[in-house]
Amino acid sequence: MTTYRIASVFFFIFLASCQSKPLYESSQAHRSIHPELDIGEYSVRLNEKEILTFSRGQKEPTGLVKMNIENGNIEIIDGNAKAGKDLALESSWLYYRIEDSIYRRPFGTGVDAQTLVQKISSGVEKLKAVTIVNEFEYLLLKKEKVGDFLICRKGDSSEYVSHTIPQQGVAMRALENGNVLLLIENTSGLYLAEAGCLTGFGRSVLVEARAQSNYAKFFEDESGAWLAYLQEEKGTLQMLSFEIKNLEILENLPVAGKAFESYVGMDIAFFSDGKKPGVLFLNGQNLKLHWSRYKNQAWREEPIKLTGAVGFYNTVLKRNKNLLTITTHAFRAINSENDYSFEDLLVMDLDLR
Amino acid sequence: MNFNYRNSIGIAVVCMLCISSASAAATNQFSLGIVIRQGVLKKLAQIVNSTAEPLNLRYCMSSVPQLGKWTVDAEFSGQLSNSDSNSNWTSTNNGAVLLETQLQNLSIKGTLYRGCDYETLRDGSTGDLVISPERRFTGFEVKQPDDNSSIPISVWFDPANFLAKANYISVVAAASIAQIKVEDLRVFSSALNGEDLKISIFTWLSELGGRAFGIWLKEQFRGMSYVENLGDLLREHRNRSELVQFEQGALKITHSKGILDQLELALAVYPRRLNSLFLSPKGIELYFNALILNHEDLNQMNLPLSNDRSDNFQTRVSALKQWLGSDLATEDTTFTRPQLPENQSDFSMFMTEPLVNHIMDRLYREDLLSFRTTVDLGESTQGLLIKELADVKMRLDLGSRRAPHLKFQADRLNLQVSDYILSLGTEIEDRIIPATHIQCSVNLAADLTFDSATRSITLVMDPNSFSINLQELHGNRKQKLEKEDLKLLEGLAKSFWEKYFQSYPKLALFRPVFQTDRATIRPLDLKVQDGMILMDFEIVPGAASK
Repeated sequence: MTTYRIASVFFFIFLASCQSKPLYESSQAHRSIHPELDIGEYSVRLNEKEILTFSRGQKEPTGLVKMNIENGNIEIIDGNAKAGKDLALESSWLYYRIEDSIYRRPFGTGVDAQTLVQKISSGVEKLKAVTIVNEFEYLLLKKEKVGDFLICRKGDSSEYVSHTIPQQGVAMRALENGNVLLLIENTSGLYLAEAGCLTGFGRSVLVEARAQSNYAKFFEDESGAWLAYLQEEKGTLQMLSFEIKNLEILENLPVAGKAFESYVGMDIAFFSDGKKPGVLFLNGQNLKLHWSRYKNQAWREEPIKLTGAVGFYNTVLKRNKNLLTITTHAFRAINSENDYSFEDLLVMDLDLR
Repeated sequence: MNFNYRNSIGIAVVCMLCISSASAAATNQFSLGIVIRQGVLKKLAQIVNSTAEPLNLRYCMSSVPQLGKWTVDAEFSGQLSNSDSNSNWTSTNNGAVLLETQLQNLSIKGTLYRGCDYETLRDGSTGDLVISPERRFTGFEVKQPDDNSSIPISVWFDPANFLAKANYISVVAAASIAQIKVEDLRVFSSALNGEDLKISIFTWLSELGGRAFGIWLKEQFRGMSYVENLGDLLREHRNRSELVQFEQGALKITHSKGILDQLELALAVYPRRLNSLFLSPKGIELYFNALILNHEDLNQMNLPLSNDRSDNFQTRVSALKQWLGSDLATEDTTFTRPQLPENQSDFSMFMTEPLVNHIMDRLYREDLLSFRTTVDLGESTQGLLIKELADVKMRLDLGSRRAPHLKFQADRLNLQVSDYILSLGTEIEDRIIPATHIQCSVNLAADLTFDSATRSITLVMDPNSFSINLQELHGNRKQKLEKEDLKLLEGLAKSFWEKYFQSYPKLALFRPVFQTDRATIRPLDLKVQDGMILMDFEIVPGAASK
């Protein structure tokens, strides 16, 4: 047993050494909203001042809540959703998963929707994305033991059409024609593929051969259409520029991380930043919030000075000239040397100059 | 004599869960065999004699020239000799066998009807002939005049075609002993008992009986199909063992209980269509196909479902049972008749290495044997490592591209786990951030026993034989582990698994299910021999034990 204990100590020292150090440094460049609550997971931007998120600690309020980050006001949307995950807001519908079931409820229509909550799928391991376009509603989800599916329906049809995804779907966005564009991973690499609710998968284009990804996000602004994804093997964050109409890849560059040395690109949040969008993300090796911007003809990655293990479930609330207001979630926030707080929602204004 | 022997011995092999993991395999069928030896004849005679139910035969008699068609409704009873010297079989060069035994207290009682209600049924058929009472012609009886006398029964049997035919010598002998009585035509009784005519009648009766026996035997053999929902059995085993997690220090192994709850996997065992039965001095060899099917496999089979047509797994398993009992079932697997060792047991069941490993593969493919190993850094390193890491868990996920395989050695088994990948990562929020991957190769010697508590064939691990080899899979990434680190991990894993196998040395593998109405099947021996798991059993006539 003694031998085991000694071995254990070395083992854990070794485990710790697998992470970059130092992990944490002091800074007070953020505001913590309701540090007494465990809040901020799966945050979704509602407007410039408000987010939707889950509060699930010992203290009330708990459940799916709407929070005003300026005055801290909290409104409970669904008190039964304390264990909710995978939150998505699409059109005037809220989607979230509790255990293995997906629920949706109307939101922002002025209707008290508690009685209108619909259970629309079960046996789900993860709800990856939701898109409503024209009359079609699409859900990209991973079913327990079975794999990934794109399910969809027209209008309020009671029946969902199900399309199997060969390996996995990573991200989804709407197309003007009522179809959706997905980032798909199969055995030969990553693809952009168009799918229609009634027609299934159609045209596709290779994004990167033999690549894998579990984290990706689409974005579109005046600068064009973009896709950021974490390249799992290299551990880099890739930024893809593409032309939607012809599904043409314009460029695909690493914008953060060092190939085979890093693991960056979870919790991606975009913001408009001129010629090319900026992107916030989690650096998985040091558990820090990083961002990458295109400045002086090059992509530059920088850590954002926040203390603790931070950078989860990022949202961009607004850009006011050179000030970008973001929210992020801290697994652990360090307020001072001996003052730790867990599961906090942090708000931060970033100077873009 | 009672040949109403349906469901007398249904044999199934049921794979039981336990520990370990791994992946991927082919969906092939595999062979499973049973060999019945000479000594079992005496016991079967005892079992057959123990019933009071006679054998009923109803057939259309149309092959006797100038007599027209007659329906015979007859009831046979008698006692088979249970003396070793009187019951025997002899195989011949052409693959047929001569079955020899003696019959006592023979009694055939019946009624003769004019015509046959279903002309399409041939003589000897035991189909559902309808009898119209108004066609009754006469009753008859065939019996031995002396209760102490025995009638020799000698039957040629062709196992390839399930055809039986009485040996002419035994027909003559039977005819010389038995007497025929006709109720309503007593005047003919003495004529019927004339030697030549009686031999002719007995020859004809033996042909009918042989055909009926062949059809009966084929039905019994085809009926030896078995389908079991492995999910139910594995859940039963899990509930009994309550083996959900194991901890040593900060290491914890957790069974994926939720996955087991959803497991839907059927094991089907059914007789081969061809090359299913052989006779040799070593015994009667019966060969079966064995395959494992999940819900998707069953869906693709387009099985005829019952009225409710629900897409329920159990419904499909029931449909599969029906289907396997018919002549429609799937083609036979590729088959090589094994060289069987000499043996003195009543019968043996043997399974080959590919079948055992196939079952382990399929179980793994259903994610049944997934393990989750977590290391809680906060708990283990309190005061030793930087405080900031408290509550951040390192996750060791064990996953393999292949199932653990049993390597059949000369006289024992070896459990080999190769191509086994250990992912090391940080579990935080809803994700695991990967750090590195380690490839493991594990060897563990094991012996086979029959566990009477679970009635399952069980692998008993030898913890002291556990060996492990680790290699980091870093690909293009910088290697994160030094040789010393890997040695350290190997030592830790060895310590952990040795203790695990000391606590849980048994890996339940298969459960042979013997459904017997009139006998107890007792396991005698279990060994690994010539690339097979060979299980020897003894039949004990009397009440069946559950």
